[in-house]
Amino acid sequence: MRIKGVLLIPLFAFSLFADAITFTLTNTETGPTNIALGYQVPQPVDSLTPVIGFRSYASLSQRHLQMSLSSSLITQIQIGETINARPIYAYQIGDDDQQLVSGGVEGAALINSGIHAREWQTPEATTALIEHLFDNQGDQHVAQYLLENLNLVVIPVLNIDGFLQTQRFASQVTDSTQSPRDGRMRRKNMRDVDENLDTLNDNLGGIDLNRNNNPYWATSDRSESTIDSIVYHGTGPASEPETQALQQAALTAGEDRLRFYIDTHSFSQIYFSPYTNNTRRNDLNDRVATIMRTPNNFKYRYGPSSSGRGIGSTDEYFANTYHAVSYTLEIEPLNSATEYGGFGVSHDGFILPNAEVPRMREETRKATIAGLYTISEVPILKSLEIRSESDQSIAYAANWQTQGSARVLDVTTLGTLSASTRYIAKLTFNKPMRALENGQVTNFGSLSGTNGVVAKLVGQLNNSDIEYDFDASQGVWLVNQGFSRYKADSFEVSFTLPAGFDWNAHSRLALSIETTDMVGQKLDTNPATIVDWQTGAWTNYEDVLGNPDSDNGGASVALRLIDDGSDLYQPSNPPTPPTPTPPTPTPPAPTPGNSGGGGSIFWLLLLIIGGYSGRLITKRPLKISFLGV
Amino acid sequence: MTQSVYLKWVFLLFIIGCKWTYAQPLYQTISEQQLQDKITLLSEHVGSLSSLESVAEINESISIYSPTDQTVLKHLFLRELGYQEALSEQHRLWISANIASEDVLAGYYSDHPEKQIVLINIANQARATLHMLDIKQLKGEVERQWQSGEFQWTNWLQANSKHYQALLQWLNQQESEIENIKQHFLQQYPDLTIPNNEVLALLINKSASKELFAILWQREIDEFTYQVIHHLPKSNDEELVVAQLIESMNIRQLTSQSLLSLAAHYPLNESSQLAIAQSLENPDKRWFGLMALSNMPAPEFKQNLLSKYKQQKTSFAVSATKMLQGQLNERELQVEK
Repeated sequence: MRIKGVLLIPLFAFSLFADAITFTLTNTETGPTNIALGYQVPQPVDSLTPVIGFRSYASLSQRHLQMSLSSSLITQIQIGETINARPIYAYQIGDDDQQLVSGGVEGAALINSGIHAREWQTPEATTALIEHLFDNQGDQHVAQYLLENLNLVVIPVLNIDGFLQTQRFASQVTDSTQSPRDGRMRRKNMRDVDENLDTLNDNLGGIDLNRNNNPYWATSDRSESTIDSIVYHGTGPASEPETQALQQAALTAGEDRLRFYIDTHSFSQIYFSPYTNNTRRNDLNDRVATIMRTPNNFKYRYGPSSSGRGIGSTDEYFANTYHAVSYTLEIEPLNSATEYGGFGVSHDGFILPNAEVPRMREETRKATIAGLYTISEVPILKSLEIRSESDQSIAYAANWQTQGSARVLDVTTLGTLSASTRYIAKLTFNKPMRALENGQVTNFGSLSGTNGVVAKLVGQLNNSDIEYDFDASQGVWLVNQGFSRYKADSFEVSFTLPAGFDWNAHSRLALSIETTDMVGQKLDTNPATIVDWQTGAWTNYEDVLGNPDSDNGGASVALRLIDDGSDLYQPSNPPTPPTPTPPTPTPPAPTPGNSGGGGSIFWLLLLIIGGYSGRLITKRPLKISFLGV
Repeated sequence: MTQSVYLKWVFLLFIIGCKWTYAQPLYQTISEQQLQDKITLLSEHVGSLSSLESVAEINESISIYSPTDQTVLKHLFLRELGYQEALSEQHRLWISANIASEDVLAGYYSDHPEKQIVLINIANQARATLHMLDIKQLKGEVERQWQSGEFQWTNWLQANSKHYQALLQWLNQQESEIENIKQHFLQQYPDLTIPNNEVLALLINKSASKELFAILWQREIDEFTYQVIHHLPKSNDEELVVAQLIESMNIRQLTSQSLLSLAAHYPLNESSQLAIAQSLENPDKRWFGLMALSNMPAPEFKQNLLSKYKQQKTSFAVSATKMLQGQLNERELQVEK
């Protein structure tokens, strides 16, 4: 028995003791009941502010409460209770007007974490998001923009009972005849489970809350109907109070407004995502994933799954019920703690070393902020002001004003432009259009650069098309002063119209602007129709042809200085053939055990030959791990 | 296709198949039950491996098993060797050779979309075993040097080194000598560069003193600083602990943790109460102080604060009043029960 006890220690995923033994996680200390990780075993500490490591549930919870008490932009809402009657809180983050600053109705986003108890990375990651918005609520940039234009709901810890169990036994795991499943390695909720590690019969109990959801509840072999299974799906869809609380959070967010969902897990460094039969939603899902992967240089992978099937996870519920772009984010590491110098003991990926936690918080926060920024609103050119460079007198000024469910162009100064005069055009958009670093405009991966604007006046002169190009490369995004509401929401560029320019000779003159927001989304070409989100896609987000269903936008020519009343999208004379928008490439769905049809004969032959060889043919599965889902 | 071309293809595939079969490292899937059976069976053979005197003998002895059994047996033997206090040169060589192994045994794991989890990775395990054995050996050397009076801290403080790990393990096991060790450390500290605060944290854990804390508070905060505060209430020296928690409150990153600790563990201590009250007057600390009161079983102290905040109209005072009133009401309910 001693030998068994000694030798089976590293197999704490599949240990084989008839009687459960409590193992202690250590750094380098060996011993019959030790599991050496090769790094300091994290212990949760009580602190409201972030630490180099993990905070206790009590102090995380107090931190959330403190932020909600000290900011009118964060509201604590009880969305349910755990199986052990602990209140589950969500935090509604944003102003309370439900209106976009630019007009229209705000969208909603829901972010969940702590659904699997042992995945300690996740409450830290979502708390970091709340803390960032709290600390930067008046930053006049992306944080303030999100607070004013999105209804964000965050659940920092859903499976509170389980999370407390893992923190209660931060260095201990119990083994059983099947898996290391209680103490630090608990995954499921605490239904019919006590908090004592020494009572062995219940250590495998509980329900996997990420298998407890419609529409694919109990439909695949990736959930099971035996209570002891680590993926036990429960007695019915949403049988668990924690699952019900999560669904309640959707009501808090606003069911008809919900367009974005992340369930935060660890580990394996990937965005999983379910496809549905809604192709526009799927395309946007791909696009937002790319955007969220950008800030960390695509360190995180993307793994969409085919529509029409699932495992009962929460991302499937939100994708299919609300047509939201929906992800299961698996936080780092990729494979194991060997990536941080650990020994690579099985399951050590769930135990992120303390020193990595601050960086992990920051990286996940940046990625999520990018996703939220994307789905809050598409960019529009909100206003134009043209002033003389010499005396700063305003020659022309107009802005889009919301009237009911539409916008109209309100021209506040209607002067004329003259030849050979140096003007400054100030273009103002509805959102911060560029990323900032140390107060300076910076690129956002390859999705936006420090300038990225093409501007010109286009129109009709003597029944012919005419263009007056600006040298927008000399323009600047305003970040220190002169911006409208958010830093980098305004762009200034100088221009001079050529000698011979005659304002009155034009029958039409419009400002043509081609740019993107920070994450590469093109302008809505017709701000008069307010963009919204319905059934998993943008509405009224017109492209250059006026197509409102492409989700692409384009160059905007809607702001007319001289308006002849012609149709915005009427082809010019001569008509220009439309440039087809390339379809968004659909990433291939991962297919476990991928087998190309053309190779089947080869494999058949190989198997036959392998059999003749009389030796075991070993199969090499895909060497990636997706553990937390 | 002619018969000869067909045969050439079959031969080519046979060669590829053989190469694939024999040359690939083992990456095999196994069920829980299979693994259990194998471990039960193979555990009996581990002892006989220990008695073998050469790498060749060990390998030969293992080679008679199937590839899967070989991996399990290597795994079991590596674990066994990991518990030895010292290794023979041949055993060390055998472990070293396995660092290059690509043998991996994966288990079915229903949590995993591809249903695989690495259970045994021989290379990782060999590396870890050697690492831990080296540390054990070095720990013995620390002890020897200490006993002989040769011990110099600077020889054991290289960042990310086995030497440092050995020192820490040795320190962690000290009881009777700890005062002497601490004094030795304090004498040499002015000339030392320590890689992180772990050594300080261990010394403080074993034998807290003002001098050690003074050093800690001047150093950059790291994960071990938080662990020091976390463990401080375990000390019996209340006066020292409260004084140090108050001191650490002045370090921005530690303010909240220290306040929570003071409130939870020293609610009736006068110095603690004074520090918490002062934090409530400080705009940078007052919210942390207020939240700390939730864990503070000191009704009179809270009642006094409540009376004060009731007379104020600021948003903070309103929140404080609401929170304190709620806590006091809840306590009354508990007392009644």
